[in-house]
Amino acid sequence: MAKPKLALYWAASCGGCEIAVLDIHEKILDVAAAFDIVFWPCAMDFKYQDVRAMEDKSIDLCLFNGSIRNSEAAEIAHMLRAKSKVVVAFGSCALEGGIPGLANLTTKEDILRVVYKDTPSTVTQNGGVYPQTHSKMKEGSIEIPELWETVKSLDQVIDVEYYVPGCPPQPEQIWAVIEHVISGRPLPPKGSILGATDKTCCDECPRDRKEKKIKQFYRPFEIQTDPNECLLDQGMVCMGPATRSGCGALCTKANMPCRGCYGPPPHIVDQGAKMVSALASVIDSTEPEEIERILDQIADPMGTFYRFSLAHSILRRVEKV
Amino acid sequence: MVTINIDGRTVEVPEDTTILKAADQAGVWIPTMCHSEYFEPYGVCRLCSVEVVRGKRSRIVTACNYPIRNGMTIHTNSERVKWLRKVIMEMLISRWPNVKVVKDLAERLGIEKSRFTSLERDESENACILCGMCVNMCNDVVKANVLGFAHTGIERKVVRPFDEKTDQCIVCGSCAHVCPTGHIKMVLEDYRGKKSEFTLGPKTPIYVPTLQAVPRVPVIDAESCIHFQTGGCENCAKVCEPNAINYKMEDEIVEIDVGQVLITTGFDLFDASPMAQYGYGRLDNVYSSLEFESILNSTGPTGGNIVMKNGKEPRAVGIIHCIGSRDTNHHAYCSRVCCMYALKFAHLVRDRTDAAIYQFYIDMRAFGKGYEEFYNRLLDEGVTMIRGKAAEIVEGAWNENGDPSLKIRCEDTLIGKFREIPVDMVVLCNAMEPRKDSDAIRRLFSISKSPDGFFLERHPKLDPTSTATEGVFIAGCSQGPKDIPDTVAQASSAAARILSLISKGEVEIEPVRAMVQDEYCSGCKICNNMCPYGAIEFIEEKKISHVNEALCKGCGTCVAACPSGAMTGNGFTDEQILAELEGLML
Amino acid sequence: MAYRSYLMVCAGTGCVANQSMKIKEKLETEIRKKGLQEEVAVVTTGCNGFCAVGPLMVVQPDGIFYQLLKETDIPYIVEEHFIKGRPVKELMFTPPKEKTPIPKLSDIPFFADQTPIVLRNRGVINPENIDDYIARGGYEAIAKVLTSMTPEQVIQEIKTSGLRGRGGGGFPTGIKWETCRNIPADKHYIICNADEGDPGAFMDRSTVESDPHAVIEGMLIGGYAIGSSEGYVYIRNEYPIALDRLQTAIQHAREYGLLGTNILDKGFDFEIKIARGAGAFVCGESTALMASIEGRPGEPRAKYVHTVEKGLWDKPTCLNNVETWANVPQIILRGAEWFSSIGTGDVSGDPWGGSKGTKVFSLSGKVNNTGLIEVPMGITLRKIIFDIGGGIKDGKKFKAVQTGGPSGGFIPESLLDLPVDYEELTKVGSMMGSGGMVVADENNCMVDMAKYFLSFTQTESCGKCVPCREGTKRMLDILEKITEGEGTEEDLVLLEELSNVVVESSLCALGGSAPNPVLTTLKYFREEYEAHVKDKKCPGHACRKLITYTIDPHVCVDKGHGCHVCAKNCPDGAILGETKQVHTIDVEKCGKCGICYDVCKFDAISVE
Repeated sequence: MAKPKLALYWAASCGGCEIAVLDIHEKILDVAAAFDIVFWPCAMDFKYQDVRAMEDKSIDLCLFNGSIRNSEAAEIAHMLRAKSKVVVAFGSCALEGGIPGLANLTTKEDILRVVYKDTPSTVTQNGGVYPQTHSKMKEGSIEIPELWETVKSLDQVIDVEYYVPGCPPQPEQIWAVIEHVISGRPLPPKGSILGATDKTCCDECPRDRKEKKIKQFYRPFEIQTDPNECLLDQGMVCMGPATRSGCGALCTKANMPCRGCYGPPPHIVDQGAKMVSALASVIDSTEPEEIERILDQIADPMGTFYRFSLAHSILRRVEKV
Repeated sequence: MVTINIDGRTVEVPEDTTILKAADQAGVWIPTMCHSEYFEPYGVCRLCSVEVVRGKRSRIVTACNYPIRNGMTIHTNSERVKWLRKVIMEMLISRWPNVKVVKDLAERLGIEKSRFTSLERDESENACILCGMCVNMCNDVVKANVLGFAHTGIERKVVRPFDEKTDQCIVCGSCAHVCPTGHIKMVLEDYRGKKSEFTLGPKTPIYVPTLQAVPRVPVIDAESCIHFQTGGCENCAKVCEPNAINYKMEDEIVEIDVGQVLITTGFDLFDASPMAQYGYGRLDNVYSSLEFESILNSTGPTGGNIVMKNGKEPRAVGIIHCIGSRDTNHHAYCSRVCCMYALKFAHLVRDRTDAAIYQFYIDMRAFGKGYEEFYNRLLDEGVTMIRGKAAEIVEGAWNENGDPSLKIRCEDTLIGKFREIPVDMVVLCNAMEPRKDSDAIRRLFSISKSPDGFFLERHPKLDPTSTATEGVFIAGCSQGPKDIPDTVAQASSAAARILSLISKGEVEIEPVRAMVQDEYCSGCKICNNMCPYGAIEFIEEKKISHVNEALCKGCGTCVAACPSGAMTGNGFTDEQILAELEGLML
Repeated sequence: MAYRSYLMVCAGTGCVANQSMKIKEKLETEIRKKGLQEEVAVVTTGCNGFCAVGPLMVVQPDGIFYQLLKETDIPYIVEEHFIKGRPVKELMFTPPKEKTPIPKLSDIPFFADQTPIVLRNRGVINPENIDDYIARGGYEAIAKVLTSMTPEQVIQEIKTSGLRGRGGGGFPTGIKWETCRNIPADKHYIICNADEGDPGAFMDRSTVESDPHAVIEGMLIGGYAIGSSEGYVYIRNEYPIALDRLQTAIQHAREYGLLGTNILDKGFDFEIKIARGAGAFVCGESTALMASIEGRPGEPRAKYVHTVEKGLWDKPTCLNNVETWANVPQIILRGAEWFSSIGTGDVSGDPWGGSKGTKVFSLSGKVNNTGLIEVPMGITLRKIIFDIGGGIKDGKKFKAVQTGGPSGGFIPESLLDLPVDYEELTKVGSMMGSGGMVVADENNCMVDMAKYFLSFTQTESCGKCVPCREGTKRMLDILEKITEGEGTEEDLVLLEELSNVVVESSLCALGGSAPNPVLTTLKYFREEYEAHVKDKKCPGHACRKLITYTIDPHVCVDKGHGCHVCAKNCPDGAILGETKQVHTIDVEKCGKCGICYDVCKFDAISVE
């Protein structure tokens, strides 16, 4: 009996999800034993044409990480969709756009200008040269993928069976998902989020929580925190209350506030808005000036509240006029 | 009982007593100067020296602390005793010639002047005569241990610790009370009439609030009572025959389960002290309305006589309306009752004195049954009505006998002139205002207040006795200034509403509520202090929050605040709202 | 180890102040230098009593008495006496106006006429060595009491002996103990009053310095008799040596199991605590003393309820003087009969009927032999002053003797044959007091002396009661007036009246006895007062404003040839005159210091 086929692909990604897979350590041998890995650009030498040559629905499980922001990623996403039975949006970028999604705060034109012209270390020639999708050389023509205006999550491009959240997903959770598939147990309903629970990060966080009355926000380097008290109680912006649990609250246990990488809790469409609403409710002041002052202490609100979820939120992207 | 012979008379006196007490019982006077009923005999002035004969021996002893023995013969006025007293008195006179208690005693003993001159002579009338009564009071009775003697011999003097002002002193005034020369004085540093029962003069810490109190039983003000500060005194317990005084009584906190609450916490009287132009608290004979009520009352401090601070009848009285009400600086509302009670004051003043009466008003609000008629009657009684709020009260110049008087400056708008009215006494019509702790009461019962600060009724016209919170009713001045007939009507109505609900046995509430989906709540506690109705509680055992359905009004504050979406509104879930929007937009 | 000679060097406060410890060190160095350390031992002892001639030393077992020692004398003594065997005559005691020295202590009249009972160990033991005390029969009395006597028997013995309070009150000690014992209470206290505030009195000081164990043993016996297990010694803070010796003695006694629990295995517990005074004379009064121990201000209270009933912390307390306690062991050991055989009167029927045993007096003033003496009751004042005391200094005439300190009175020459006895002294207006005895001669002004003692008691008045506080001050003001020449006849009447009022109506014995010096001088020396008041003159030549110095011109020129010595020494520059000429004193400038009178070799200056 042939082994089930496994494919892993990275689109607009940092590579962390691949490393997270490898972080299951010796269990990788179990994976190799249980699956036939047919496509893994990071670790194995299969080419796109190999995938193109496969039959439709021949890949049993495809773990797709990274968001879709250029033509190549979209193409491969569609291709893998056709060739796979089950596509899993693996990691925050695939789930909700991830950090690359913050590019939706600006335009493609601005990005290209900053990167290729305005940075102090760039020495421009001929007034600046942008990369082009087609470039004709005497040897032939070179094609590079086209950068999209908007970063999208995977399920905004293709149909997705399951999601595994996290930046990256925790190795234990990855192994749990793979193991579930190997075991042959019935799979959960389509669209489920795997490797996570239905509560928020607060559930796994061991700190003592009290009724919240915030008089001032602090950035992590500004104060010495009490290791036993809730970080939000102490004035740090911790996304934990609005973030799905499953990661084991690793960040708060390490004295850093949660970043929200496991995405919104169940039924919440817009993680950032929910967090903003919650924070606004606990500001301890009735004076407008004081409230302004307290809110001003949050540095980089978009980056804080929508760090991973901007592409998938109601906001989606900033429209510049 | 034992038998003694005192000045030739045989008397029977109780055992275990002193010569001084026995002599007092036998009607014999023995001079004393350092003796007081409050504490054990001190025996230092030696003026009470008497001659005691037992067998062949006779000796001079001090009567105040010498114990009686059966068969004792005492001479309180023999030549020897008289001579001792004379010389001791001369010693005292030579040092303190002008102190009244020394002079009076010397006179009674027939001594005019002293043959000695004293280098320590003190001419003042209030000199300290080192009798030690203040020290003994402070140490033995009050037990505050502040006063003591320092330096020996002729340098002896009464001091506080290290001769410095000390916080150890509880300012009970016992030393000043017992000092025979007036050397110790109580100085009033700050007069702020806080409790109305204390503003018209000092009371002892144990007092009956008013002679019309029900029950008419004394209470102890623990803040000023010596016993509660030092553990000493207990004089009241010592004199109470039925032993009714129990210092250990404590506030009892009783928990009662109720379904409905009627709040009738009443009003506070506006304190006119911040209105410096009226001189309340600064000038003599300027009274607040409640103070004047207590003056008028026959069980009050003046027995119902309208007199000034110096005990004389005023020649003219000014009554000023709208103090603290109808005033953008203080309260904008009209206090409703003042015009009528001001007229009542005027009527009673006219009835009991010959004083001229002036009323300073903005409008005369005589709205009720018989009120306008009463106003007209006052006009007939010759009360002068000046339409114009008084601007200022200053010290006046009617000082024929050197008596203090006041002047009211006002604008009489009906004749268009500024006037200065000389009066001896001023009565202010202070506004009724919400109680100082009404905000705390509100939060307790989750009710609101109207902009004027009084509790908010559900509907100003159609439902003035209930509040937005089911089961909580208000009545009386807690809802707004009103007089007695209106209060009675409102309270009866609230009671009737309550009774009808009690007879029904259950109450309906709105279904729009928030609720916590347990499987999604992680116990972040962000919602816990959001609820204006206190409906959210945290369940420690399950580590999740929970909404009390009875209290929840469905305002949705907590739903917006919940970051995990665990808190949701019944009938207002995200899906339902989005579906509504979709429906609207399609 | 037996030495052939023991050098008993006096280490009482007086001798120590005169460098007797340096003398002791010098002796030790010299003895070591001469290689005599195996043969001659140096021992420091308590006060010998003959303070007039200190620093002194007694060589035992010979009993040779050396006086007025200086460090420079020591090598000579060691060489002469201990190597060559020739006692040094020049350093022995020679009575004034005689030539032959008296080598042995026991022959010296100062010592011969004394009967040391309380002071039996003075000069003979090292007070810091408990074994010395035990070797002389110490702690035998308490052993006898604990093994063979009941408390009631002890009390009976003390009663029979006739011992009366030596602090001044003269109350029969046995009765005090008995009353105290019979008051039912959960705790009884014993107090030893070592406050000794009288100026010029050092009996208690010397007793505690010389023989502290005698006091401890007395208190142990008292504690057993009364049923107390806690005793206090209230000692004035100005006695550092006595305090030190007492602390050492208590510590040694504890180590030997003579203080603490289960003493001598007889189930008797007793502990002694020391409380120190802080410089108040009034704290020698029993109720003020107890207030001081309790930490309250040292003010007396009315004694209508006695301290034996309610004393320290309201418990029955028996307070006795140092000397009283020190007598107790001897009474127990030698018997009440022996004790009551010494002294005056008969106490078998009436405990107030006589004065038994001895009394320690501190003899000071204008006598030759000032010091501490212990004499049997009943000895005459004449014998004390002239035999033991060696008579008036410089051959002057005796005027008066003051007994009982500032609470006592002056006794004139006419009453010198009075026997020393509680009742006798009180009868003449004075009192036994604690034992101070100050002798005055013709050059003392009685008014001035009365003023001196009154100013002491006036300063020490606690100020609580009116008569003492105001009365003594008024009396002092009048005496000041009189001694400054502004007194009147009325002042004398007033003074006497005030004195009597203060005596009768004061709250405690300080006020009750402060006027005694004034009353006795008014009684026996009224003529001196009248001289001050009427003639504005001071017969004793002490009151500065009332004396005048004059130079006899004839003597000055004929005998002195105008030597000018007086003028040179006059601090006020009040003597005018050229050398070889007659000198006169300018009365305006003269400060009445008397220096010219002292320095004139020709007695040309007289004072009136």
